[in-house]
Amino acid sequence: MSWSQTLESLFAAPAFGLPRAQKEQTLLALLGELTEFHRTHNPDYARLLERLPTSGDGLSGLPFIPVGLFKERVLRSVPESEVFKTLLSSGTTSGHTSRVVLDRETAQLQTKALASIMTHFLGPKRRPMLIIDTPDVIKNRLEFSARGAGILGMMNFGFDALYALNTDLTLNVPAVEAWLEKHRGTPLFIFGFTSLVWQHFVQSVGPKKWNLEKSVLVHGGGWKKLEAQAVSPAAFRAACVERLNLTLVHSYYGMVEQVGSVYVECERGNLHAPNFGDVEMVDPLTWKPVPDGTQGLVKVFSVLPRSYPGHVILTEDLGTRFTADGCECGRHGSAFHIHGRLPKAQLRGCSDTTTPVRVAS
Amino acid sequence: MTVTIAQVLPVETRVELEPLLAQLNSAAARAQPFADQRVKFLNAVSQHIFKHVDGRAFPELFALAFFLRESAVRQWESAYRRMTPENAVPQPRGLVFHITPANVDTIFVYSWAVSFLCGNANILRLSSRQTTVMSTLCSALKAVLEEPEFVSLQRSTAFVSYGHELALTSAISQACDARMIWGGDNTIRSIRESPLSLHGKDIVFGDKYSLSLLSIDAVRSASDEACAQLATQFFNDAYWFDQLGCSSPRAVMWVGTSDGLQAVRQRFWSHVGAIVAQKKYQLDPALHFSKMTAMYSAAMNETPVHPLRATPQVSAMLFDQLQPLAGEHPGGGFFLEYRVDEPQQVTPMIQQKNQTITTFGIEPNAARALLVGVAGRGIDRIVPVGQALTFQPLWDGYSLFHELTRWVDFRVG
Repeated sequence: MSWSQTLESLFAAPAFGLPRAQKEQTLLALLGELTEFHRTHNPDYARLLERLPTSGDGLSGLPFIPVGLFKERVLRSVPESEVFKTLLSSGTTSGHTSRVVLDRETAQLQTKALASIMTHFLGPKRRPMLIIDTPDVIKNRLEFSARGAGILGMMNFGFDALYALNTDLTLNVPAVEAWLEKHRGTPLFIFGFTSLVWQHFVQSVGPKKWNLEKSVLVHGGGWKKLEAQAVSPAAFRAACVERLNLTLVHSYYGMVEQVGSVYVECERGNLHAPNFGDVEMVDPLTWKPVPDGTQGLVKVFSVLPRSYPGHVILTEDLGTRFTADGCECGRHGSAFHIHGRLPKAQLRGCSDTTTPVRVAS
Repeated sequence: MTVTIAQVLPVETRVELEPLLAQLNSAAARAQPFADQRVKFLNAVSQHIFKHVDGRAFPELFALAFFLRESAVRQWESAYRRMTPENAVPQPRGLVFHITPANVDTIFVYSWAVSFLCGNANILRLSSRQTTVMSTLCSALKAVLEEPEFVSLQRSTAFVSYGHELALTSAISQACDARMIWGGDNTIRSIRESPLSLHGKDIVFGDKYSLSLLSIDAVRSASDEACAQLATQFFNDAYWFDQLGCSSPRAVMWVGTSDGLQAVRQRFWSHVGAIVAQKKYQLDPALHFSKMTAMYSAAMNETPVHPLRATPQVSAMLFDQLQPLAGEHPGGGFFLEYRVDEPQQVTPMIQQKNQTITTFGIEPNAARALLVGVAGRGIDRIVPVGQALTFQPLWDGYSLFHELTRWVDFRVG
C-alpha cells in the first residue's frame, strides 16, 4: 500500500475502532516513513538523528523531539513558500513561544483528523455551537494562538456559533439566553478552555437556571489553573450536572506542537488516543518506557505532521497509561490520564533569575 | 510617617529605619580591623556550628565553620598586615550594606563575616526565601551574640528582610559607605536604581561562568584510583549547585593532541557518572528536561558536535569549533567540551564574565601564559579541580579585606 492509502485506512476505520496489533503495525510503518521524509528534507533533524540516535524496537525506539525545542527554533521540512499557516503556543510561563509551521496538506489532515474524532462524540450533524470565550480571541488570521486555533478548528462541527463571553470575560447572559431559547430542544455543542468554562460559565450561572441535557461540552487546555484552585476533574463534572444538568462532558488533551494529537475523555474519565496517533509514558530521568499503571513523562505520536518533524514528541507533562487497548468504555486505543506539567525546578546558583535553555548558537 | 523595617537579627522585631541606621553609623558599632573580640566571636560561631550541626547533612556549613576558625582568620590577618605599609593605619570602611543572593545559602555569612572582621558595621538584606541552612546560620549567630562576652557586638549588625521596596534600599544606600551586591546582573541593575551615598562604593558580583582545563595525557595515564579522585573533586565543583553556580564548570577544555581523546572522554565521564551515583545526586526531572532540550538543540546545529550521554545526570558534548561561553546554560550536568593543543589557545574564548578555571595536569607556566594572554579581560581565579567552590577573600577580582577597610596615612611622631 502507498503512503496515502495506508494513511487513508486509519481514517476509513471507525474512530477508536482499531485493535492494538493492527494499529501499531500501521503506525510504525507510517511513522518510519515520516522519519525518513523529515530526515531527507530537514537538515537540522537529519543532524539530530545522526548525533543522538535512539535504540529499541517499536514505537519506543523511534527518534523523538523534546517539546521545548519548538520554543528554541522553527522546524520546517517544506520550502518556506509552501508554509500555509503558523501556529503559536500560548507561551505561559517562560515567555518563550512554540512555533509550528503547516503546509496545506498538514493543515487539511489536521482538519480531517479533528472531524473524525469529533463526529464520533457529537454525531454526524452539525449542532448549534456555544463558544465559552470572547470574539476577540481570533485576531490575526496569519498567526493563530492555540486558543484561537482550537476554536476555529471546532467551529467546523457547529453552526450559528455564539461567543458567550464579553470582552472582559464576563458571561453575556442576555445573549446566551436568547440563543438558548432560539435553539430550545436541540442538542447543543459547547466548547471552551477548561478554566474559562469553569470560572465564567459553570460557576457564573445560577444553579438549574439552564437545562443542557443531551448537549455535549468539550473543554480542554487549562487544567493547570484549576489545579491551583483544587478543582478535580470529578468535581468539575459534578458541578456541570448539578448546575446545568450537563452530563455529556468531555475534556481533551492536546498541544499545538503536534498536529493530530487530540485526546478526548471517554465516559469512564480516560483520555483516548485516536486511530492516527498513540501515547506512551517514559521515566522522567532515563526517558525509557515505563509499564502501564506507572506515572511517567508523556510521549505523543501522530502520523499527520508532514510540514515539520513533529510526529514523535516528548512532552513535559506527567501522565499514566492504564491500557494500550481495553478501556471499559469499549473504545480501542491507549487510555490514559494526564496529571499535569512537570513541576518547575527550584534553581540554585548565584543569579536570582530563571535559566533559559540555549547554550550555543 | 516613620519608616519601619523587619529586623531578623540580632532580635526579630520591627524597628524604625532611621534610628537603626544612625545607631549603625555610630562609633560604637565599629571596631579596629581584626579586633580580638570580633575574631573570638567568629571562632565561637565556628565552634557552635561544629557542635550543633550534622556535618554530613550540611557539609557547606562545616566548610564555613572551617573558614571562621581563629587559626584560619589569623592567617588572613597576617597576610593583610604583611601587605600594609608602615605608615598606613587600617581602619574600617564604615557601614556596609550587603544584598545577598537567594539561591546560594551560605554567601550571606561569608560576605558579612569578612566585613565584620574589617571592623565595619553591617546591615544585611536577607532573601525572603529562607532555607534550612540560612535559618541554622542565623540561629547560630544569634545564640553566640547572646553570650555575655559578645553582647556588645549586637549593635554592630542588623539582618533585615523586605521585598523590592525601592524606598528602603535607597534610604540604606544613602546611609552606607559600601554596598556588597550579590545575586547577578539583574540584582545589580535593580539595586543601582537606588543612588549610593556620594563617597560610597559598590562591590558587585555579577553573572559569572566558569570552566575546567583537563590534560588529556594526565587523565589517560591516571590510575583508576586517581581518576576516581579526580571525578570526586570534579563532582564537588560541578554538581553542588546543579552546575548553576558562578564557579561551577560549564565547559571542559581538553588540553593535548586529539589522539585517543574519545577514549579519554569516555573514561572521565563514566568515572564522574559513578561518583554521581555514589553520592546519590538527585537531578530534578524538569532541570533534566531543560538540559536535554539544550543538548538536542545543540545537536541540530551546523557546527560539528559529538554528544556523549554517560547517565541521565552526566551529559557532555564535544564541539569541533571554539566559541565563547554563552550566558545561558541550563545546568543539571551538561558539559560543553572543546579541545586545544595548549592552554594558551583558550585565550580567544575568555570573556570578562569568566570567573574560575579549574585545572588538572596543567603545567603552571602554561596556565600563566593563558592568564597573561587574557590580560585582565576575564578570569578571577585559576585553581585545582576540587577548589572551584571554596570561598576565598580574593573573589571575583576583589581583595575583599582591602576593599572593606581604609588605610589612613599616619606620619605623626
